[in-house]
Amino acid sequence: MRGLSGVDLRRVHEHVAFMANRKLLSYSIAIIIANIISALFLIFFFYAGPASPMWSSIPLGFSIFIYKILISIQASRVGRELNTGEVQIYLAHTLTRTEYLLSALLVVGITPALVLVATYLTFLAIAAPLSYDFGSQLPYLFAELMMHATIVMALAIGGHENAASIVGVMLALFIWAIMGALLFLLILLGANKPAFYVAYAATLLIAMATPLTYRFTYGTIPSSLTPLSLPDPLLVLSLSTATFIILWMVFFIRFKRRDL
Amino acid sequence: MIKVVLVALAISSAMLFAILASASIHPLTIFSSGIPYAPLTSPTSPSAIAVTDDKVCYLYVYNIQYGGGFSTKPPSDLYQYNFFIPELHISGWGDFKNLNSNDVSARVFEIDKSSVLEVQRMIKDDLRHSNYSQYLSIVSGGGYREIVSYIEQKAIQKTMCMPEIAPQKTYISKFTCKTASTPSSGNAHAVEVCFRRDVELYGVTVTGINETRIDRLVDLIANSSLYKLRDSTINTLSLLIYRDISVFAIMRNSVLLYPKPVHVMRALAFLAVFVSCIVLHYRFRPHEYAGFSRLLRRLRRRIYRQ
Repeated sequence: MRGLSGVDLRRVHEHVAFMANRKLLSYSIAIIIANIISALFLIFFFYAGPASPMWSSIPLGFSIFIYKILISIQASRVGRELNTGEVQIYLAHTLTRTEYLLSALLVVGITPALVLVATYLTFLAIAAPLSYDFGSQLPYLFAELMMHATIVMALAIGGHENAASIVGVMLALFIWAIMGALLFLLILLGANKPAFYVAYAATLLIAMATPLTYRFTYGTIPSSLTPLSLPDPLLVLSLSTATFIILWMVFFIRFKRRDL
Repeated sequence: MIKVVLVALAISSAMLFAILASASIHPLTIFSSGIPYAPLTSPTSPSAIAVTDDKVCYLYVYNIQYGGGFSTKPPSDLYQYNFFIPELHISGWGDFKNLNSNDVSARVFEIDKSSVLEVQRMIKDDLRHSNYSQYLSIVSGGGYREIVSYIEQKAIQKTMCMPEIAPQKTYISKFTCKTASTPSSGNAHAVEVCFRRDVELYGVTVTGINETRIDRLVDLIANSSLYKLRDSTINTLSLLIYRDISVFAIMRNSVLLYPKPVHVMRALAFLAVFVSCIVLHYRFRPHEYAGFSRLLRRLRRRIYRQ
């Protein structure tokens, strides 16, 4: 079965299944456990508290943290395959470079995001919320995991397998603190200072890397505190989505030419 | 990849189904918070005091007003927000000599606003027809019995209270009243506190007054003109007899996971869908489930060996 540009989707599917299943105990079970924790958080915390962004985002943030760790570890494995030359075995047999990278994208980024979003959707369908605002978090959730996957894969494809896992874990642990610190700096600096615009640009960049965390933070800071209006979360989501699509296209183009 | 997604979703659906099924039988308390002592009313003076056959009784009436509970509805009908007041605490009484728990009793009646107006009218009527002093709201024994009988008849809720006497037996730490249902804000409480007639009070240091029994002290104040008491004496005795009470409520907010059958059925439906998808996927790609098959074979061997 061939898609556009000669990609054999069946081969991609086979390699994805191989990548996902080969370390069954580490990857698949880890994702299953992370999913159980997400479902528990959803049923016991998500709806149970007062309907406020803070209450719903903090337990979901913990689930996302676990998934980000998984993504970082899996991306690091891809980096190891590139460094050790293991990738040559796959490319020598049946896979093209595009198919290999596509299966990496599916395993590293799409599968964890899909599992978490599917868990969320299943729960929404069971609980049938009276207001549908909670469903609006889904695109942000997907974008946050995909951006994290993009960042760690950028390091992995560059051959920095250790950096991929370390940076991935650090980002998962501290991104919310970085976001909070930048926003605090914005409030402290005040407009009409060069440093403010630098901080503003940095906030936008970090927000694009973590749109769900930004959305939550945006909702909790009164606009009167910031001298300049912060970017709308929907704009940040659009930029984030466009960014990871463009970056992955760049990955595909560069990986085709990369000397393995 | 598909296997991982399906298995993850099937397991989480199974877990959700199990939780919802058990919660539909026994609702789970997910979240609980409380305000330990929320004032239900500011210090309240007695509306009526009476000496009956064997008791001296005080009647307090106040409007029930409190803020509490959740300001929003639960976002899903899977959850139930509960606000309730399980206990009331009444305090304000002291200066006793050797008070025992069977010397005092208290009751709380919840009544509506129209009943409050009628009670106030009955008290005013009795005061008008009595010859007692205007310093205290002292009603006749017969009048008091009629008022309490009316309150008992109209009460939405009646609660008996247990006194907690301090170890020195000189004051009542509090009355604890366990409510059967949450008092409604907007209604009123009528609190009756009764003492045995021979309960004695401390602090009677006024010259010429050798009485310490509460019934005698009430009688002295009620008939102060007869006994030709001075204003200062009446004031001192009033401080002993005329006691305000404070009423505090223990408030609890809780969130219950209380699924309806439709939620349980939805979870079961999702579980069935995901398990069916796994079975279908297994039919097409059994090699992806080789690990499970090996595990099952090992388990079967162990079972048959035993």
